[in-house]
Amino acid sequence: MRLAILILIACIVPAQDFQRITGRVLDDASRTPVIAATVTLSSSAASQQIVTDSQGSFTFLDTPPGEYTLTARRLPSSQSGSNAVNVKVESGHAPEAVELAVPSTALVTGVVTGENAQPLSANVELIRRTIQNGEATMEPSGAVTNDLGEYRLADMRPGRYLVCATAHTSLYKQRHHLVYPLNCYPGVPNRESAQWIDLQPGSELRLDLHFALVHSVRVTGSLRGAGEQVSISIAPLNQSSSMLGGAIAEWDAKTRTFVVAALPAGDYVVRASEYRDGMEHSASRLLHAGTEDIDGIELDLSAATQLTGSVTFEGEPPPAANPTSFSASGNRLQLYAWSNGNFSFPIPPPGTYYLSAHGGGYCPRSATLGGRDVLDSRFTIAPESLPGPLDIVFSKDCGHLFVSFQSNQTALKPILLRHAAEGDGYLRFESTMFLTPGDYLVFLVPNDPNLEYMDPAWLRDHESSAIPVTIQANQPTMLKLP
Amino acid sequence: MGALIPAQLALLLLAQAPSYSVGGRVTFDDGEPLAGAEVYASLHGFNPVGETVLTDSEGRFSISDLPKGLYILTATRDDIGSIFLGQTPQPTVVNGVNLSEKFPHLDFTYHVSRPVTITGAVHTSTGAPLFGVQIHAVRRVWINGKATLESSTFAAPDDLGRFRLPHLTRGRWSICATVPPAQPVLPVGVARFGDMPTGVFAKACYPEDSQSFVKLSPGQNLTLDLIFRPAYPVAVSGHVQNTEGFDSVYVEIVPEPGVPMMPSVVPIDLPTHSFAIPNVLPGRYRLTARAQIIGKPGRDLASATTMLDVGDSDQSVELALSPQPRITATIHAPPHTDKITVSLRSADDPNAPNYDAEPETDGTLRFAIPNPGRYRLVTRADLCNTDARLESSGLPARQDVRAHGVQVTPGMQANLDITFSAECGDIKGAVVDSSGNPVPHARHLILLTGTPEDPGDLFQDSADENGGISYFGLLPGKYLMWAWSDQDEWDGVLDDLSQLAPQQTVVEVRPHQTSSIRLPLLRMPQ
Repeated sequence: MRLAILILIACIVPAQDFQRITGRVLDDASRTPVIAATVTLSSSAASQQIVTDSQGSFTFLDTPPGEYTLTARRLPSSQSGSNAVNVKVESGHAPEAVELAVPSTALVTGVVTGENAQPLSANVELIRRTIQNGEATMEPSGAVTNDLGEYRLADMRPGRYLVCATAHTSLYKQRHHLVYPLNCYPGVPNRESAQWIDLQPGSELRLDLHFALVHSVRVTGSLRGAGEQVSISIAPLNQSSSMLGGAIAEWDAKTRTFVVAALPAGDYVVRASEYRDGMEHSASRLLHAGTEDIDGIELDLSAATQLTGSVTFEGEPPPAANPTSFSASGNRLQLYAWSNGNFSFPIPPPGTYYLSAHGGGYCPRSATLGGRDVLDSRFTIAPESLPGPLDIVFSKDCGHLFVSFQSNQTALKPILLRHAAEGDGYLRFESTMFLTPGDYLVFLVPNDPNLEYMDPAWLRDHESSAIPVTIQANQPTMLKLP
Repeated sequence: MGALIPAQLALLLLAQAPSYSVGGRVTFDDGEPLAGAEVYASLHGFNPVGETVLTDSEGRFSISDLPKGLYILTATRDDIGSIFLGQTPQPTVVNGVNLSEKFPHLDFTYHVSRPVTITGAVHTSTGAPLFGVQIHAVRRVWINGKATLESSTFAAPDDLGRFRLPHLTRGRWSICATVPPAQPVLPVGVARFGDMPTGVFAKACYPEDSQSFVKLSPGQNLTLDLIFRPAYPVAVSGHVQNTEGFDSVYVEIVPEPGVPMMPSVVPIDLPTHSFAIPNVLPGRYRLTARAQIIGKPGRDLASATTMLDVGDSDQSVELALSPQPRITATIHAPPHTDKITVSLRSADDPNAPNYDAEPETDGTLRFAIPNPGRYRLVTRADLCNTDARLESSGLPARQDVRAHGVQVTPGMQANLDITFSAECGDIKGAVVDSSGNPVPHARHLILLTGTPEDPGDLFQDSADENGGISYFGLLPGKYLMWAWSDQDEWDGVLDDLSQLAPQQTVVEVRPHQTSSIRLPLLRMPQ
């Protein structure tokens, strides 16, 4: 009995120090309460989640003294939430009520209909244009329609969007050479000619999409030298990184043939690939879909399709610390090398690239792809061809650029570019260290996360203000900004 | 279909043709043609074989130039979704179309039910919408003479908590919203710091009482509100005995239909023989322990199973592994017969699959029955099944399996002798209403073995558009039959066949004769 009383007392006494934390979650723009928002209260030791009630309010009872952080999200899946608010719980007085503002989002709803106003089963994608590091990237968010053709995209980040949708074409229509093509707002068949939509914070947009059937062709073909795990895709030409507007082929492993039931007129790249025996095997072909069915496309997957090449370091070979690694993203082909030797990598998807080559403490002195200079030029990896070899020579004779700012220039940042030797465009350098000697351009760009300064048009317009610099081997180039 | 050839398959025209075709007419319950629907044939309900055709204004369609084979026909229209044609009263069984040299051209009338749609919103008791929950509906159906539940697909609510479950079959439904396992339901409005409700599941059903159902007629739409309340899971733990010699033993928990849980598997801790399954919601489950030896995959070498009713508190279970039963079958049939299929079907669990015998290289059939229990023999053939006897070293005499089924005991080793003969009879007739008029598409049921209280092999089918029914290849003897209108849903009301015993019709079958019957409609229970 005595023990029980002791325990009771032990529990009660500190509880008098406990305080309640109350608050509300508000929409950042409209300042209206947000119902069913998820609020997280965390200390260094633990965290507790709660959902706001129908007034947008929340209460954490009996919170022990300590330092806490409160955050809120509109939906559990929201990409961004409120700012973190610090709350200190001390014995004796209750903390003030907290207001958490979640970013205002937009709502997009609509109905997708077909030729007789019937609801269609469709995938609707809102593609957000964001600027990262001066370059535009596309971020898709998708929704599928319900049986009434309705779609609903809540909690959309404000910004500029393209809206594109693909609709399911029934078997009967496919067999009768009809298909619903890619449909981008305002009713155009590709992303390039689609119109941007500006989603304002807190706005609601109703966007109905209407599909019309177009003539389609059936494409059949066969694969040679393929294994069992083949994937075959058809993508619009010049848009090979996106599946929008493309098609997936049905592969019959028994007959070694594939069929694309319905493809609208246009230019495509058909690509078959298979990863087997530890190597990428791929083959692609250009395809023009007109009015007639296309039969007998042949793709050969018997040989491994690798981009092969060599890395040579001038002078003393560096220690073989790491192998050569290779990646392709956007329009940049990136290669890191630490030792002499040959390499091979999967051929990146067709497209235009520029090379970014790094060797620890070295800079590329020359780089050729199939004998053509790719150090100073963009290059194209075309379908139906095997590029290569990619030969890179690294040198220790590199230069460095040091840029010094005036104190009032913190809103600017320098980027280092080089004119491509052929055609349009620039080559970009991430680092100002270990540069290949030569002529460069330094652009001073406003430190604005929304500025797409890597747009060739922006660069052309601002080239007059660019500062030309010449990097010389084995010596630093000092650039003092005016 | 074997011994039991439904009316539609029997009324076929014979013709010599190099290719095969199927055609027919599709109508709704009320006779309105299903016009403008796409129909295709497929081998397993997936990729179409041959042309995809449209039904005309009369609901007619025809698919020609098919290779021979057993097809499933699918009709699709935007407003009804995809429906298998030839759906039988038994929800999991679809009548296929068997195109063969004997029947190269087939023509059927199909009857489809207008789909129902369930829509609604899920919210908490304070009115806040709920996301991250799953909504699904279960329908009361009748399988093998017993009531059970069939589940719909799942729906997810939108940011306002609204959901839609379209293209459902008419019938008696119960709709539940549940939180996926391992996802805690957050408290609304007020919480105590530190009382993280990990493992608290919540559940909302309509009707609220899980034993009741809402009846939805063809084409009906139901809109409802689901209000979430917490439910508290418990832990199921226990021990598995006789694990010596096995190096892989695991316990599988499978919920009965309607229990808002996903099946899961936990390994047992071999040194202590113990297992623990956390976060189990109250309800009925099948708990099975299976033992294997690594490197000898493919077959469970020993198993133990039990049904478990989980209540409001933690529960402990003891399971003892026993070697898998080994039952072989020897078929005695006149020469040149084929198309014999033999299965054992659980008499205890209508949801258990049929265990078909697989022929071994020496011609005997082997049943891979994982769980002990009572089983019923189901045979289908061109011939009639006259006798089936089981011999086991543990049994004093040969057991009559055709009449009484077989009690499969742990580790049982037995042989089943099954005899077929050609001395069969047929039943032909029609389902009629109280005025003696035929009832098109009436559903009918014949009890082939067993009694209404303890049904053995039974067969359910739909009458043709003239109310006609026919069965071929029946062993001479007396059979019990029932019929009901496809507008009534007897199968959704009754618990089992014994409730129908007072209204049974007895039909006598004689060798090489066709018994003619007029099968009256059942009177709906009030």
